[in-house]
Amino acid sequence: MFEVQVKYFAIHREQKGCTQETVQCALGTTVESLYNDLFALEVDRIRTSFAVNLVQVSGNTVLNPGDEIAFLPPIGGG
Amino acid sequence: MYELTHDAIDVDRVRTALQEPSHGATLLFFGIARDHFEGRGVKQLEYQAYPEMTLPALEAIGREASVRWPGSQTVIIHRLGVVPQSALAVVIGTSTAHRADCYEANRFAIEELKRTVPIWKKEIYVDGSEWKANKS
Repeated sequence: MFEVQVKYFAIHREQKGCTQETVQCALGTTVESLYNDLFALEVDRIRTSFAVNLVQVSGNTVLNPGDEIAFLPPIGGG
Repeated sequence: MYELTHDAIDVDRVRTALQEPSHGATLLFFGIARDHFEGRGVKQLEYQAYPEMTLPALEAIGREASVRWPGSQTVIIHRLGVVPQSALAVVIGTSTAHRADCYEANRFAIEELKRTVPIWKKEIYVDGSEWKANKS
């Protein structure tokens, strides 16, 4: 097991009730599987992109110790 | 100049940052918190960002604009937190040598911002609220 830092925004932040948290991951965990675990209880799932260490990545990206993960809901700037 | 701010946007700073003797055209785009959406009254907006990703994304828009319209300058300031009705949510300033490029570069910047930049907007209605996604 290892630790990663997870950041939440917008609807995710409201669903989780925090802006970020430290999460334990098993070896081989992908960013999408982590998302599915963390939001398993949410009925209202939304289209989400993923970023690892400030770079947008595909869901099958394997996580490493100390990674900073961001779940990015649909954007609405402007 | 690319900034995120929780305060009211200072338009004079944008114009000052764009001053360039060889440029004959400057445009300032104001994105404003309007009072309605599809018939619902909007009291205020609330924005969030991921500054470590958001600022580089804003800078990338300016870089791309300077490639497409050589010599152009771009300033983008986006407000975060609560934005009251009728206040500025975003200001995009563009300056170029001539007006045609200026219109195109400024339009490019706002469309790219709405398409690519990680910023999130919540509309607070008189009777509820909703996180809004830009049309893709």
